Amino acid sequence: MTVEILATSLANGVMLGGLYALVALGLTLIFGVMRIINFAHGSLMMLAMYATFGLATRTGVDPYLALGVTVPGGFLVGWGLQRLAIAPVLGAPEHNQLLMTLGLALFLDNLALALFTADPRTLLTAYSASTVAIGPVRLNLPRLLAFAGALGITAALAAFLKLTVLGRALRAAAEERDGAALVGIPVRRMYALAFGLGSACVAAAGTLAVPFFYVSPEVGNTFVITAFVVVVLGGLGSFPGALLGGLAVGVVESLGGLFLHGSLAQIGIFLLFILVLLARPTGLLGAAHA
Amino acid sequence: MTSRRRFLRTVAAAAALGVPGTLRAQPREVLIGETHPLTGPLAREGNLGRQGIELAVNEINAAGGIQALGGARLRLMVLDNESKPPVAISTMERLKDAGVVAVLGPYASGLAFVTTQEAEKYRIPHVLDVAIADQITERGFKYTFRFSPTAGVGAAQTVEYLGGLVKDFQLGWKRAVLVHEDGLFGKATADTLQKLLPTIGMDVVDRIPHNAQAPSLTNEVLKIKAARADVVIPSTYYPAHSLIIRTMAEQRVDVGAVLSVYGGAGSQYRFIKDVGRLADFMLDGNHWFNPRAPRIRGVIAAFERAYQQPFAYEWLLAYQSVWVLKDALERAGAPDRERLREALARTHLTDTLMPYPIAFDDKGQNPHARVLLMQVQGGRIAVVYPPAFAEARPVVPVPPWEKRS
Repeated sequence: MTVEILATSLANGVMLGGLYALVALGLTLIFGVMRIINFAHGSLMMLAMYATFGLATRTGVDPYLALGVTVPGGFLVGWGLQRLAIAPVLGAPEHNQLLMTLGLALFLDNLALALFTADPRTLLTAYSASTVAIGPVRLNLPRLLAFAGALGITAALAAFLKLTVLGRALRAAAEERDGAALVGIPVRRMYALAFGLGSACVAAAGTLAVPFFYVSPEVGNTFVITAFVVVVLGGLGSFPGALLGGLAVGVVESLGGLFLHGSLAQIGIFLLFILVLLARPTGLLGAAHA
Repeated sequence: MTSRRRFLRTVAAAAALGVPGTLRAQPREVLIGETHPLTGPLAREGNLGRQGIELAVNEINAAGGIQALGGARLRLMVLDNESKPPVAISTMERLKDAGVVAVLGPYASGLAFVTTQEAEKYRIPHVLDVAIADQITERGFKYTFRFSPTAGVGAAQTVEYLGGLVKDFQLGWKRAVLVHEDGLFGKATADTLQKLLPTIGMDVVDRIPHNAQAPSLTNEVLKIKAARADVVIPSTYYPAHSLIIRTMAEQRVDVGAVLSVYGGAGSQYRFIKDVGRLADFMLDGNHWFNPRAPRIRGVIAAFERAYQQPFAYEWLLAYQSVWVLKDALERAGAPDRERLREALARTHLTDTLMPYPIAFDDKGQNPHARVLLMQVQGGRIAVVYPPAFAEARPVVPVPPWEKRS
């Protein structure tokens, strides 16, 4: 085990962790505001990936430019889904809400299977195999860009929630639904906004993943199952928690993979998960009310 | 009502003719059953198989059907087993009830285990297309016929071809690294290879299992680099295979060759279409056509015309299975399951599209079946070994990534 391999693996884990964080951010936002676990999150990511792939191959534009389509598109789809499918079950028992998002996921995944077939597709760009060399460590450019993009979007979203009136209203609706309604915040619209923003996040993650990954109908699960762990690890509903959790999981998974073989690499993640939850039952940065 | 009317009509017709049925003309149609995964995870392969069978049946019917049965046409009854063994069982039942004389299909080993069992139970001859698991023909079944190579034969021959390459081209390769997905398929293949590789003087210096759905295979590729491998042998599914190659290119991991056995990628034009030049120089031991067979170019062209798809061995094996059945029907002389079974058991076809003659041992396996070694060269899949079938010279060791355009 050389230093070079260790450093490359570490860097790779950090870069992947950024993307996990972005996926987790959307989940945690939706959960924080609506108390709904969105199982369709991975399917939305998959749809964004197909949209990116389609745009890039049909029109020849750079896949990163597809962000201009997938992010607003993700927002609108999220908003629409919330209004049409989620809002009616918000007052229903939790298992009904779970079934609704799970049903959405099954529907979207199978729709993709019918439309795009099960064949994985790869988008190759001129810079797909480009690397940035830092000493002996070669960082894959698309992964690095995905990391940078994920951090940028996280920062922008955090600023929106902290600094704007709309962001504050959203947080108010999340923290105290009835109180927010009493002071005139349109809570129902805030819910749709949260779902839209969460979907836009995962759509952005999808687009950022296309240049270094492949696209297939079940691809969302690769990232989203880990993102569920990240959300709980960081603290349900906590933004900085999602970022910290994402990076921690990325690094642990990557380094774990060096020492443990194959699927066993996942053991590291869950060991970390158990240890953190034993020490802090609400997650790394979770608030007591979560 | 309908059945009574039909009954009366039949009785009337028979009375009018006044002859026993046996003296009348042979049946004008022979009903052939087919069970393939047309939906579900194996839908792509199943549909290729269906198309291959359809093409062969159309050709046979257009050329006058089964001569020995008075030019009887083949009629297909195609059922979708949804890629699920329990459904495959019920398709066999329905085919039996419909009175098929034989069953074709079902592409995957997991499906073939149950369809062959049902075929045995109902005494229906079953000619397999692809299913490679060795055990399928090791259960002493009398109604199962597989003309294509098994998993074990494929692995042994691919390793033998690798040994041949190393010797013929004086490559001096010693270090092999096995990269396998950590499920049953990947592990079983790696176990077999680990036993076979020492027979050609190669050491397995590392075995790298991986999760087939991992979001990154960088660690695995770094381990390949650290092992200073001469040959990397991946046994994994298509998406992971593609990710390994891409990451090797990105990390500039140069090895003598990447070779697979029944690989998920190297013998697939869809892989080349997907990853382009990154697929270049990959070697794969797999089912393939005999490039020297006189009819092969015409058949491939006919398939491409009919279905607008590039060549894939999945359909070719299904196509060949129909011709095996046709040959047996000609010799059986009657659309009868027992006589057909006996004729199949005595098959000896030398005029095939495969790189081997077709005959069956007492287990129903073709002892002559073989795989070939193919290499992707400039976007084309060419047979490179053994020399008797080679279409192109193998490019080994493969050029380093830096030198590729």
